[in-house]
Amino acid sequence: MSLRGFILRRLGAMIVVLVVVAAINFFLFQILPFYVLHVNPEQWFVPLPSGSVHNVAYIEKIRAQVIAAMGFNLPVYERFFVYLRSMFTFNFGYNVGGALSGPVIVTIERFAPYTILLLGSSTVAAYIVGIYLGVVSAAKRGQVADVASFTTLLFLYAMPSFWIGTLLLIFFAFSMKLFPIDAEAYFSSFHGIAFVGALLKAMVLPFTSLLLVSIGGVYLIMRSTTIDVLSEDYIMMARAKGLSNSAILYKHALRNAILPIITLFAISMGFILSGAVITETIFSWPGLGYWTFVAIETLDFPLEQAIFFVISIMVVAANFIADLLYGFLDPRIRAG
Amino acid sequence: MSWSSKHQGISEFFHNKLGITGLAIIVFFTFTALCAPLLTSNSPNQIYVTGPWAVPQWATAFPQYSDLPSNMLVTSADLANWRITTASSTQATPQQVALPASALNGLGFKFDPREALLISSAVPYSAKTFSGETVASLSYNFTYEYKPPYDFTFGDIIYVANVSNVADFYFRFILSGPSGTYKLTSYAIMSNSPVEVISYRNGIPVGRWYDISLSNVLPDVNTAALGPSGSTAVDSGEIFLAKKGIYNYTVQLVIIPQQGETAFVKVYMEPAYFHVLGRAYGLLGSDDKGRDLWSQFVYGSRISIEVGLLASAATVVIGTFLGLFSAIEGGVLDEFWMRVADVILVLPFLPLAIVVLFVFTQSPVVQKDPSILYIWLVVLFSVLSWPGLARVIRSQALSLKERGYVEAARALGAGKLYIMNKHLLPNIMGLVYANLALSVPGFILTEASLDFLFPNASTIPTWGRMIAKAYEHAASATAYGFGWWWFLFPGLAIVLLSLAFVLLGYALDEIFNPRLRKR
Repeated sequence: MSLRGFILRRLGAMIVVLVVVAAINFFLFQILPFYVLHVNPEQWFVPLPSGSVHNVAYIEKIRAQVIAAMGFNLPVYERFFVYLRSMFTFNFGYNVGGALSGPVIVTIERFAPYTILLLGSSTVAAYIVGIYLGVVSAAKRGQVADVASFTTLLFLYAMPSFWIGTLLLIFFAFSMKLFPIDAEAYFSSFHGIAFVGALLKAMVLPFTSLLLVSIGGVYLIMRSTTIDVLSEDYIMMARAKGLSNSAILYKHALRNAILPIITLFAISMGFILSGAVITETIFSWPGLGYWTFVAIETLDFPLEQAIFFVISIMVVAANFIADLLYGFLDPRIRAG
Repeated sequence: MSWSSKHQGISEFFHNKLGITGLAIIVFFTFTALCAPLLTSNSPNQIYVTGPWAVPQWATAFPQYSDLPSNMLVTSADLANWRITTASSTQATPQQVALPASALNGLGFKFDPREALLISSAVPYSAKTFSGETVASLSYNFTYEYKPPYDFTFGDIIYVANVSNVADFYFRFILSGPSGTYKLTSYAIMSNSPVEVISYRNGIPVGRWYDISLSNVLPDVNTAALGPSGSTAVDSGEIFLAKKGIYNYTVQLVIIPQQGETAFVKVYMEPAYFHVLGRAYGLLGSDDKGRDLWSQFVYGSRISIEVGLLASAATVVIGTFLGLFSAIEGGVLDEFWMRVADVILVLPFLPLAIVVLFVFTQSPVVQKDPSILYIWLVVLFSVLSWPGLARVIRSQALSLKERGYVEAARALGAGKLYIMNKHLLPNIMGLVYANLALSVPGFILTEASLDFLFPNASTIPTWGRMIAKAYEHAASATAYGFGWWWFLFPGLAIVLLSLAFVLLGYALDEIFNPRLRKR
């Protein structure tokens, strides 16, 4: 199959997957909130612009606008097409939860950067450290350094993220008072350059927490693939040629062992927007993960649908990129 | 797989130290889960089994916790150990009495009195003693050599046999010692509070055994009565038992006759009890309401193991079946199931689980029986996680399908089911076993995370819920060492159990996957 044919076929499949996910998304939230509340969706529009409390005509106008835009006056199947169009045009409707107001897309644009900053930096850091430790550990297989790092990282791998978060928060925020307890409340009181400093300070604990949680998985895979590669014949050959250990490790073994990790990295970049619901909630980091949780608690289903859909797009795209990248990086696949 | 190779696999497993460690941990937690009622006598949600924020008993080995009190019942059931004083018009005789079992169930402990003091008293009305005359008092000395407790309970079991011409009679509890003298109950306040049942007028029954149980912690407490000057200090134990030394605990019977009459009362009084709620308790201490954490820990292992194993088993069964089925069947069905897998793999697992769990918790069925929640979680987990395994199995089966012996079987007329059963399944069993073990930790962690996010979804004790509650109280727990015993041990248990399954999975992987063997 030609590369172009491959890409076209994959793109088609991606769109089908996205439509199905959007449909699941729609019917899930269509059934659930009604089931939970048994109320008219119109009653959910609690947020009112301040100062307009007595302006009934204005409120009614906004309400009518929202209801029309989101198709609440239509039967379910017609609303589904309104919904589908709104998803694929990135016009996700309006927040109805009361915690936030205004169009959902504004909410996402406002809070996605926090998630990308936190998840992006911690994922990259986890991969760099994990890959390095994994390779070193594999090269020293069975020695004290390997056993020690294997045990530690296996332990980290098995640690629940909420536990790490709780421990860090209690020791470093509650007890030693080094870092803020409520990240958002802390950094939102700063402006300008001081804001950046405050943001970074508030990010230390959630960053560390995510780093510790995700480093174990990378390390374990890197270590086992490197061990696999090191037992290949061409490594023996390289050794026989008299190459130095570091040359064998970094020039011959690492290049092959890193392939699955790169795919994995691309896929985990896809899940970056889904954020770390738990870590963000524990540290009150106002990313999309945090808002996923708040949206559920406040029954803000347009926001929830939008977050799910955006995540799905990212994941589908990341998987696609991972496939392409794999073909690009691995000459065996390119040739075959 | 033939018998000999199976046997070889088992012996190989027993030579794998990590695998054995993992298995041992799993066996341990399975044991605690199965034998939970034998390992602890407390119900996990029973409040004030001990004092709030009690450290584990073994922590008293450390200097900063060395003189914390355990639960202590400072009383004696033997009347000979009590000093009894009576007014002139009063007769007091110790008697052996039989109490109904219902009278003996106190506040989470059993106090078994053997003797009661029979008091018969006639009190003539006199204007001087219009607020009553103390006709009998029982007092008991005890030594208290610990840091002050946060909370305590006290009370008495009584039987009123005969009453005439009384305006009222009541019992008064007094604690005096190096910290001062405190009336634990004060009549002036009692009579203003209709809920108090410590006086005749407020509801002490005649003709049956009656348990007066009071405390500074339980809801029926008039906290105003406890503080030195109507103070509502929560930890009044810290005031009343502030200093180490010898204390005197007294219970008095006070009678108020009707105007111009001579009152007569005949009552049995047990030696009163005074129960210090400990600040050191059990294996894992207690939470903010004095619930036994060891009991929560032990019962919590049930949910983790149940959800982990069931979800993993269901996932493996569905994944293996659909993977094999797609590989053998091919065509439209293969395409269909693999596209379904694609869609599910794109859905964000945890956020979706959060949404579904939230809805479950609102549903009337789950609210009636919260344990159903975990069954639904198992279903949800397996529906969301079979695709990963199905893909692996499918690709494995596809390559096996092209092997010569499968082709030969097909040429001999073997059916699809036969080939699946006899030729494909045995060859992927290694993969299946390893996946069975390796997917458990994910489910344990996710289940715990969901409990952490929705601690109030049910009252079933789980490790995740324990950590959630500890986290909720962390801000107010500065004075209590942040309750380290509360959030540390359930977390460690989650790690250990997950780790155990990882180790087991690795061991199985190494046995069944020859490529991983050390050369």
